[in-house]
Amino acid sequence: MKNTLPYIITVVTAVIVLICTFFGVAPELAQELDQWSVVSGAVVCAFGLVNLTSVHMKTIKRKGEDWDLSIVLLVITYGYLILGLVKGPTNEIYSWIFNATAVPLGATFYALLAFYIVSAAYRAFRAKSRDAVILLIPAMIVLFGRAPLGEYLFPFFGEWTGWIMDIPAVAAMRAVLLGATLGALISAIRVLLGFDRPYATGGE
Amino acid sequence: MSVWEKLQNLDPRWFYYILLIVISIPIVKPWGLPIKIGSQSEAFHEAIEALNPNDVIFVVAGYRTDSIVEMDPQLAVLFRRALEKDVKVVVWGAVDEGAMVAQRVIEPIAEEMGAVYGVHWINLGYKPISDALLQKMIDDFPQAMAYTEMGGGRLDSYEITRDIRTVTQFDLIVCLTNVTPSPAQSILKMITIPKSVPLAVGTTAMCLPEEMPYYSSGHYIGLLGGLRGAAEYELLTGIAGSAIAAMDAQSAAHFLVIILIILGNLGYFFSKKEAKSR
Repeated sequence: MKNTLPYIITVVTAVIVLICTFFGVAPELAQELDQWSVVSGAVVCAFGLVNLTSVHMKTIKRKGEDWDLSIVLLVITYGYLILGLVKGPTNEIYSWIFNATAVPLGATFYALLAFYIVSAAYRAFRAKSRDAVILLIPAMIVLFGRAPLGEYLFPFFGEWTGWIMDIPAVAAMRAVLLGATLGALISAIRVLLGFDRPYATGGE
Repeated sequence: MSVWEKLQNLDPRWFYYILLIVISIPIVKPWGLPIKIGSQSEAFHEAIEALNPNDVIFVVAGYRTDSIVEMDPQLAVLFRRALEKDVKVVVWGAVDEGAMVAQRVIEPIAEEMGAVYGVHWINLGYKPISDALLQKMIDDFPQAMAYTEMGGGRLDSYEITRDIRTVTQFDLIVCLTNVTPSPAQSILKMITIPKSVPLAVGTTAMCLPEEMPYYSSGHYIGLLGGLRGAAEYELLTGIAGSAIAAMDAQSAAHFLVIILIILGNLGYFFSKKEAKSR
């Protein structure tokens, strides 16, 4: 039952939506299913919160590794949630907490990439083989061409960068996208036919 | 140990210090280097300029705090230009932090330009993007976007959203994204292609190759790529923002990376040669 019921729900829903979409039959039914899907998205967020609480409560009870940090996490999560529910997302304190913590932290993590790139440029980007040289040369052209200083000193790098970005990069990306799309289509058909049942793995 | 071998084993902290200095110089004293405007940014600019007063655009904030350095300048100049042209802006956070991140950028600009919330602009809050939600936006926009508006009101209580029954009523969709899978590609698949609603996209330099195929195929009518794209759009609109100022620092960082790649490779070859001769 645990495996069969989700399978039946998946197949029935998919067949209804497919028929409604391709044959224009009972559009209200497809719309209703869409609405359920949207609401389910919100429910999933709530499940995430329940799961987070359960995992960290267990850690606190067992006094497991970093249990004190679990307390901090739960206090912050529920404190911010309650503040948002009571005062709303445009409240001054609610916005201030977000702008003073999440925003600078996110920007800092992203900025750290620059330091890693600089270190990696020196240590890892080596012309050790023919393939590495093929990667290295366009990379340096694009680095020159995307920076105003490079374009200013060597104007032809701007044109070369445009060509690299417009032709080989787009061609490679199209191939990747086509491959991924075909893969997704086959994966969807497998789920629809019940060969793959990702919803019945029980979190494994 | 030779000089080249010593260079190979340099403490990485030295690179961090050099980067800090190299980036700081143009920030303190900008060089004002000329920026060449690309066709993608020009197309984006033309898409916004083609809008008429009282047109409504749907701006999808599909980026988080990690990419604010590249994405905030794009949103700021877009929002400012839209208000200048009397174009109304409806914002939606398609990813968890999207609505909050957008709010902190556009609210001060709206205040500065005297734009009224609910009349000239609105932030519909966060609702996770999915194909089902996008389909619902086509079928019944108020129901799809219910309960999440930042002010906590109903969409029919605001002048800007009162008459919007479907997402196809928007004159343009602008998706600013830095996440994978890209919200822009979902919007393209669910709304732009079947319903012919024009779509322009802004993204980070890192995600630019992922979006390029859709621009070159004509599906996106404009594309801003990273900080460079924002700087080009600032130049096109004549709105001086943070992107132009940051371009010199980006140039300096790019040059440092190039120098380090050259030095690293020289060190690698010479130390290899020395090892062979020994």
